[in-house]
Amino acid sequence: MYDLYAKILNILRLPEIIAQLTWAVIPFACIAALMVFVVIFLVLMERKFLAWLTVRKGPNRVGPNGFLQTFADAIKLLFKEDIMSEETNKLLFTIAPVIAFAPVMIIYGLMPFTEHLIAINIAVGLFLVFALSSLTTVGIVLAGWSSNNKYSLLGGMRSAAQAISYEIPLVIAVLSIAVLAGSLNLKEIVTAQSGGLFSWNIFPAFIGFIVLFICSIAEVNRVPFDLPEAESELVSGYNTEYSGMKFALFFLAEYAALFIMSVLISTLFLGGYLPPFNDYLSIILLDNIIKNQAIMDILIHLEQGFWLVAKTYTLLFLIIWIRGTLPRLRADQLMGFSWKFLLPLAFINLILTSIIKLAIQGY
Amino acid sequence: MSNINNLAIDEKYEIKRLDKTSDNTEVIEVKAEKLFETATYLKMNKDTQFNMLISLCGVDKLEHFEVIYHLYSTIFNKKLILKVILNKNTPEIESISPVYSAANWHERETYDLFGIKFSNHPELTRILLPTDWKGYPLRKNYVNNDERLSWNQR
Amino acid sequence: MNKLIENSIKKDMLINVGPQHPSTHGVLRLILTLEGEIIKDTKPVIGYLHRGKEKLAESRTYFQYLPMVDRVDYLSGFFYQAALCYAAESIGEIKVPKRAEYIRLITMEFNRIASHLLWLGSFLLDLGATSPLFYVFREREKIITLFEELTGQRMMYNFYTYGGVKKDFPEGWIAKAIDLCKEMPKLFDEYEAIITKNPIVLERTQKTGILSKELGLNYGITGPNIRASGVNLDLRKSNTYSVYNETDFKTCLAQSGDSYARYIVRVQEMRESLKIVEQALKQIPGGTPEKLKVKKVNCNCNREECEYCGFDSKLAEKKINPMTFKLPIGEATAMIESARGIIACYLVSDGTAKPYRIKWRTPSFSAVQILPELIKNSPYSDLMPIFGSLDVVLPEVDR
Repeated sequence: MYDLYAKILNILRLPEIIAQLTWAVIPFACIAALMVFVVIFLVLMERKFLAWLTVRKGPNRVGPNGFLQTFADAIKLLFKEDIMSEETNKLLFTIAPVIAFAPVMIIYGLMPFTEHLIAINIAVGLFLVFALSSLTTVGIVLAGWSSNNKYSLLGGMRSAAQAISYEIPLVIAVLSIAVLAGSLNLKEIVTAQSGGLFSWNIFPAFIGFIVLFICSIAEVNRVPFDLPEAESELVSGYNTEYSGMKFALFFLAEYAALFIMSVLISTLFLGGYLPPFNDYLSIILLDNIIKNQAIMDILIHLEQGFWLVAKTYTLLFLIIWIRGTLPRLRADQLMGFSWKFLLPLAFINLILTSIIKLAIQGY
Repeated sequence: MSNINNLAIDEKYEIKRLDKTSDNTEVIEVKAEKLFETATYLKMNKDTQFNMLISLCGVDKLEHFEVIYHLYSTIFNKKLILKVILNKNTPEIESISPVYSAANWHERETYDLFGIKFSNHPELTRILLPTDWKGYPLRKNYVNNDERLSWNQR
Repeated sequence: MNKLIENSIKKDMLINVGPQHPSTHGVLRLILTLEGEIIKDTKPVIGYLHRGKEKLAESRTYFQYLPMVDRVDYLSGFFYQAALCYAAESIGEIKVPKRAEYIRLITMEFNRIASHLLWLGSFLLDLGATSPLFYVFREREKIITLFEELTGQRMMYNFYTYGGVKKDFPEGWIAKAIDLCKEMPKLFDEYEAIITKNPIVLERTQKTGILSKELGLNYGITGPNIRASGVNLDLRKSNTYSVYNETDFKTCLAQSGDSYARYIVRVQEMRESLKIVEQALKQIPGGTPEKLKVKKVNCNCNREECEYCGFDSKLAEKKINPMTFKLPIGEATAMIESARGIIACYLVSDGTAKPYRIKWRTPSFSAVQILPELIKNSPYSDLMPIFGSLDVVLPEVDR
């Protein structure tokens, strides 16, 4: 692929060095574009689904069926005045949204969207994902503290408490996947699940799936765990004082994290980009018709993307559905739920999966 | 059914019976200094049990102030009005908030709008109007001459 | 330096909630002292919506004042007009025809349902659930549409008058109302399916904000709030006004006195109100307006007790001239069981065309007063659910 790229630049009479320098940036540029695209349509989807659940119409003015509503909102946010009160800590206030946003973006690079569409394929991918996802909390706490607003501070503190208590069952639930796959590399975890619906990790580790699903909702601060931004108590929580582009970054980070968490769950438990059948649909249906291997590869590649997107959006729909149904938990109940219920459950899941692994493989 | 007429409290608390109101509620007039005792008696006595203070308000009757207490008994479903007459120069009466907690805010409101002082009140400040308001609006001789509120000054 | 150390040792945090806050149901200001997330002390500050309704009454005639009282509580305007009308009618000894009383009863009970519905939505919004708000608005809309057809207004109805009501039902209104009464219980079942057994709702509302019987009575808490603590206080039963004694309904009680009990009482009350409305629509003297019109023309007997052209089927005793309407000297208290509790209207008349003094006793005033007692030592997260469960409407507090 690099050769092709260098060739194109050569035709444009650009020196080789530019090709070498820009080549590494391209995946990230693609990922950033993907992320913004995903978030914009995720927000639209959420609004439309919520409207459907609550007998409303939802956005239906900008573009066909309100299709361009989020673009309009994004443009509005970009042009909005950036307000900062006198008493804030200017440096931290400015840097907090970046700290909240950047780790999410790196996680996008670690995800195997298809067999080849993975920007950074490293051996400890899973480990890095969780290390980065906890960094977002630092940004939120900083935002809460530097705003010099008591509501923001309470929101930030709640977020920190919540992240710490939910990270532990989350990681232990994921540990069972590492045990099952025998690897921390995300691509290998996916490959280990090949062989149709029944070899997915969700079957040996169903409890782990439930724990991870609940924890990831808490991790991205969604209903019923949206205490850091509980509107009825804390106005808007940690982002009360933010406006304009800085607010947009928090917003973007939240929805990007929501999407990437769903991708992660489908990668770990639902076979990632693998189809629920023994083989790819394109191979089953079109193998005798299309003889050209290159076309076949492209078809399989697209199909992989389709399966991942389908699984991810099923999970996203579940999360939105939960948002439309449940009220919010109280802070102490939230902690109790994590420590007294989810953590033991995660351990039970770890023991169960280890026994299953031993029983199957015999070592 | 309790009946206030059957109780021998007339002499002890120096109450005076007035005509019933149009909706057939009994009205008794109590002297300002006996109010606290009367209210306590009416609440605690098992034949009366006026366990609820519905409302408390002042009325400016030009030559004097009246403070009206609406009592209600949930046990006998009975209303009773206590009326206290205060002179206009130094309108002061003892607070009954130790007996009925509900009186606390109602007394503040009466103080706010009529300027009637309630002694022994835990926190007698203005409640509905701003703290820097001048005068007591529900008095009949109240004239609003606060410059800040006049339209010409804005 | 000493001050710095002192400040760092001090654990309390003062936090100011409102008057601009998304969920104070209006403009209430609470100054809270927090220790961590535990509320130690609360100081409510009210008066941001004070419009001087009592002062305004003294410079207006009775008919000029009548439309203003709807605005005391914008969610249940009928009750306030009813309270004022009953007070004036008892001073002036104005008789109210039975048909007018039935119309008042039907509108008041529908208004109670509409008010409770909105409460349900905003209460769950305080808990963090957004969807029920939209569901309740869907149902409230149906009631409001009926009101609009009847009175021409959706919120501030200005429909009652001294001695009766202003208009008869429009044609077909009664049939629509009966249909609505049949349809509503199914929709209430729908809410109960989402809310009543929802584990998170149970966790959040049970055993929070417990209001004991004694405390509630001492603070003058009325309405569903005190009934949820087990006090059988329902003026519709005990001090009957209007024609409540001709309908069959029961007072809904709960014993525990927590937020959940208040929720249960209100939901049951909506069902009871529907029963009252259904009975009243059947029992109304003269029947439907179409039938009444035909019978009136054909009957023409002019007897007082005639079912169709007698006194009871009229809408008001006689046409009152608003310019010359005066009440005799006297005073009266009208007490009404509104959606939120007891409304008392104390009216003093000095024989002129203007009221001498009107005192409004509003249930929300007491409910805000008790808030510091209820939320003491509970977490900050419970502040809004407990406050929401009391069903406070701020314009009613400030008047």
